[in-house]
Amino acid sequence: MENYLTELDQLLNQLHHSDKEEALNFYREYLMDADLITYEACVGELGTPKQLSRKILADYSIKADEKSADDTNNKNSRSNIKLIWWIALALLASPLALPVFIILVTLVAVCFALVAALIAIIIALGLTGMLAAISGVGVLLQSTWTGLYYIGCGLTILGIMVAGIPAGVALLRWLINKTAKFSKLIYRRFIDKNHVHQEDR
Amino acid sequence: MAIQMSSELLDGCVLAILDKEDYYGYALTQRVQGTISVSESTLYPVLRRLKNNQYVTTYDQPYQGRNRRYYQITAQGRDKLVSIRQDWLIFQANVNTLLKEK
Repeated sequence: MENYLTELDQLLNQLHHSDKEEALNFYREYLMDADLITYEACVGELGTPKQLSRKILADYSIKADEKSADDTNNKNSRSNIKLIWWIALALLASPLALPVFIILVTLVAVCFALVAALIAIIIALGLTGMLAAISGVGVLLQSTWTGLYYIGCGLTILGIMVAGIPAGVALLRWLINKTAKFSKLIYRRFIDKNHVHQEDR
Repeated sequence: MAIQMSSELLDGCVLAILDKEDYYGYALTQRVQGTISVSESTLYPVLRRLKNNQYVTTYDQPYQGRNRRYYQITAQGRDKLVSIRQDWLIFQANVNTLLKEK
């Protein structure tokens, strides 16, 4: 039992000290009351320390997220990514939710592809703009007007690219935000309640 | 059975149990599992949520050289229980209406 709790302790390291102690105390008391002495018996009751820690952490991530949403509407993309990650792990830990997990992974993959495409477009714009401007300078001596035309075109494309970067970043934020919200919904639907079926008897 | 229990209903069930007497974690889990099948790790988030919303308080009582944490319903918890019971009655009646339609 102590080994089980030590492992759980290490897996909950990202929690605040007091939150971690509370969870550990709850489960220490629980295992003692249940008279579960061996490591295997603990796993049989609560799942592996990893599975249990994922459940606990997913619950905390959602709580923390709701709290920060109350404070400010501007959600931190990094914590959103972390949230999506934890929910994905929690879904993995629950065999029933595997199809849901696949949907979530597909969704994240689609977002990722969109982002990659966006970055590619921005890089392509930058390259074209620079090439046009440089060749414009090259031609400038032979034909002033053609040169000026190319420089103009190049600078315009560069301008579009620079203007596009903030828009791209905003789009990326929005995508992450939506995915996080969607995963929260999935979490509520499938993990929070999946373990609570009414008995058939 | 494929019908899922919402977290609001689970909160209500736990509050209803605590309305009768105080429970410690393991006994409470056993009590809930006696009627509906919930996983052993379901109750901790529920109790945490109830405590954060001040629907329950906790106190420790020594037991065989260690402490047991007991959960006790608060006045706010009782109010919440009343409102969950009302919501459930309405919900139940509405679902019954649709299910019994022929």
